[in-house]
Amino acid sequence: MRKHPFDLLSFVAGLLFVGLALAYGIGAYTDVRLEPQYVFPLVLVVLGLAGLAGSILAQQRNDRVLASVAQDTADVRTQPLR
Amino acid sequence: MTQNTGPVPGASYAPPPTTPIEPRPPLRRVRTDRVLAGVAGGVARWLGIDPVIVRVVLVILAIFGGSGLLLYVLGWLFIPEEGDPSSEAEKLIERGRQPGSTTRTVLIVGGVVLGVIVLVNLLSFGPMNGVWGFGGGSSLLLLLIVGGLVLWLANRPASGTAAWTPPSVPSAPSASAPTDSTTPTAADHDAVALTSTTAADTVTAADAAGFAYGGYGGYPGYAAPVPTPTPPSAPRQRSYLGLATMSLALVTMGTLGALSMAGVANIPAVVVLSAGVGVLGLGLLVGTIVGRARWLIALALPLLMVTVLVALLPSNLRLGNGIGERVWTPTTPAAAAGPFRLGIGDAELDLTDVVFPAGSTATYPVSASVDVGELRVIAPEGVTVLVTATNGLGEITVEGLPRTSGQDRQIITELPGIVPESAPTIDLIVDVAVGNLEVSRA
Repeated sequence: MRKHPFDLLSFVAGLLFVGLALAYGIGAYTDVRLEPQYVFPLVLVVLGLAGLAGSILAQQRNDRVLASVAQDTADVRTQPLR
Repeated sequence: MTQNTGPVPGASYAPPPTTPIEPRPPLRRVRTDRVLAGVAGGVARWLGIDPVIVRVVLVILAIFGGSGLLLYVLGWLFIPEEGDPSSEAEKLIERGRQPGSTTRTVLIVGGVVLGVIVLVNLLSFGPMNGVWGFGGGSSLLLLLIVGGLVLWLANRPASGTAAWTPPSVPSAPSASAPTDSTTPTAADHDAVALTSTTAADTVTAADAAGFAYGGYGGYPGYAAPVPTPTPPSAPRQRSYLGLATMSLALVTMGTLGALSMAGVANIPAVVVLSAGVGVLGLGLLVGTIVGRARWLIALALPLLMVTVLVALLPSNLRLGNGIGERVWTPTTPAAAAGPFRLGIGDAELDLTDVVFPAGSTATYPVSASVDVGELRVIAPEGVTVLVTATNGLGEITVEGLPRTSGQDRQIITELPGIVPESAPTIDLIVDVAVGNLEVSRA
């Protein structure tokens, strides 16, 4: 598999799912209980924020790459990525 | 290569091959056959169905929960009109934006804000506040997600080909270098050779750097190389991380489920499900550094939803006790001990045929359980019966007591009845996770 830049969305989602899985696994054998009405909204908000942050980071990365390409090829005009 | 092989700017520039026209028309709001803004007509044409169907669906959705209205407004905002390159939303943003990169950010921020508003609405007005997100509001949420996906998929191929065009021909650098070197003096042969090499090198270097330049003029039969413009990002390698993770999650859940069903280990359903969620999460964590597996989120979310729901079920719910109807009629105290178990279905435990040793005053334990369904226990006359009835969700009806319903209750009582001085005692322990429980004398 190819190594790629750190993927924030995957990281946050992975942590979230592993954490919740552990919590429910532990909860099945102990008295520890998650408040069910907050689990799903929380997951959606966290994933959404992670996606937002991730796309802003990716955008900045793209802009940086574009800037360096533009510098290398002085007057090669490229359209901005959208 | 001689000096006159310098690139002729734009001489034989061949545009990159255009992608074949898709059979499906682009998703556009129609100008004709419209009622309001042409959203329904456009969607219907895109889907290849009658606009009336789309309108009826929208109206029904508008009446039940109002999501039809919201979808229509979203469609009006984000679907461009026929012959118009940009949608209303894009035009709105276009007016106020400064650098090109903000468009996307604004769109995403707007989407998140909209999502939060919808979430808050669902949280406060959802018909099932206890199990948030699974009530009638979930259809709205689902529609939003599906609608967003459809819009994204519909607009993706069009913007993919149109948003990026090859850079314009860089005439200045590659043309100027050979021009400079094409001024040799006749007396300077060595220098000519030297400069021509430099010129060739310049061209080659420029070519290798990915310049789309004007082709080699003057060579008959020599096809001008198709310009290979630098793509916006490196082509994405297909990653099998997601597939591997999904398979691993299935194997994990299947194995745990089988172990539970076979009675090898008593594994609650919530553990089986959360193990799947955990494996998917681990795959995502791997995808943080190598491979691509973001779509696992779409898989883990519904699985998590089921996990949350199953975790709400009473903790005494176990899988693997069978499905169907049962009538248990033990005849000896040993056989009556049980434990009698049924997973899903109705069961009856008839203790009237049990023959106790004459003159016995011993206590005989009897236990029976049904996970989902109904359990009726018929106790014999002339025997002391101590009842311990546990019910996760449903009704408990014990003779001599008023019928009660609720969640996670336990009733400990003694059945009424005429019992002789020297009579055996039945210690009856009954348990129904979801369903009704009834204990009575014959």
